[in-house]
Amino acid sequence: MSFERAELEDWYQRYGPAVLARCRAVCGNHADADEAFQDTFVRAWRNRDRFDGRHPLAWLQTIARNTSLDLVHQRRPWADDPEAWLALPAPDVGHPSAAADLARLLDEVSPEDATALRLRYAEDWRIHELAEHYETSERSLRRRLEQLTRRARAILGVRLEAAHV
Amino acid sequence: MSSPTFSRTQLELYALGELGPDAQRELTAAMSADPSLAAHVATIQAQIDAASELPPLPKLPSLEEPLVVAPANNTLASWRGGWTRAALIAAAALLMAVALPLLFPPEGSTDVGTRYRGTFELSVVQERLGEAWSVGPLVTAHAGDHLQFTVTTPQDAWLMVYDVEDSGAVSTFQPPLQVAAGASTTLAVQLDDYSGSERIFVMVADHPIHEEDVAEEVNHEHRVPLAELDTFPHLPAAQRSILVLRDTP
Repeated sequence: MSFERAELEDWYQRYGPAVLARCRAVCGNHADADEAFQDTFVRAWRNRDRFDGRHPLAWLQTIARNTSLDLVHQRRPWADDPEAWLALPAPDVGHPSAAADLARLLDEVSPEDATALRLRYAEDWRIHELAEHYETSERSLRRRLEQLTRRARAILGVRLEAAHV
Repeated sequence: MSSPTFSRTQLELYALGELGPDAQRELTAAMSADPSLAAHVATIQAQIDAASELPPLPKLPSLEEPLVVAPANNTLASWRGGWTRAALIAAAALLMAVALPLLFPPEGSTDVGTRYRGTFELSVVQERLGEAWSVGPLVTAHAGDHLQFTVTTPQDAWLMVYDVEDSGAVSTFQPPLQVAAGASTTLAVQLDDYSGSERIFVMVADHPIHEEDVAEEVNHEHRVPLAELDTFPHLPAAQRSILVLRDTP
């Protein structure tokens, strides 16, 4: 299944704001999100013969996820202020090196893992939404988040909201 | 109370005014009954509204240009295969002291795959309320118990840990992780409140084995009771597994 240029331009107008919002959620800053957003439509066009016939927004969001993750992988947007990127409270005075430790944790894990933390805690996504976003099971996603959260919690010395994890 | 009925994409379509009339009625009713869902949708709506000023649509390549054949979702493969170090816990020294290769003889099963020709050592420690003890291929556990796996391979390899429930559902405890020859790798999982039995497979292979590969094997072996399904003979990986049964705390 494929589509014409005019269809993609129509999708850009109709679904663009939702795609851009998702790029912002993953990237955590507008500059990278704008770049991921534009790349999403270029990739969609280049891979138009791979359109799977799902709803166009679902297909575009899959590409947006991947373009955004690629940028997160390249730019590591948490480097300067990992707590702000994850929207976490600053560590207490007993953990002066927590920011560096947290940045190291985010550097060590995959961009998918880093953004899973961000989407859960900074963007307040629900577990089933994350599972949909990563095309995995809720149970797998939950377990991965538990492991990551445990490590982040140990680094920060703060209690992360974990009611739904 | 969250409502898993509506996907993120559906909520985004609602915010865009693009959701079909039936689904829209259903969602509206759900929001009336669930203020947290209504608040969640309002947040999504606000985020989309804030993104209404779009960057310009970039110049699209002409139709004459050949299509790029690389899959668009290559990063998803990375998600499935790239869970690198999230599950590692630096308790290897302690665990090695109680390593019990006798529980899982290195010779292992004869029906493991053929691509990974080495064997590997595995020890498993169960931890509850600060106490820890070594366990064998059959574990009785409570929700909240930790299981810690220490794996040593004689050559560089990929290490994976998957969980298979008696329902047939497969979940990933450790996505493919590259491990070095001779190095001990310790992984830990905390058991949730699943009440059925489950089997945890530790796999070592030359190449990554993904969750969907295991799920396919589960489908293939669906007539085999979990208690007897100690390895997947068609997967090209050396395997050990433990059966976890739930005990009433």
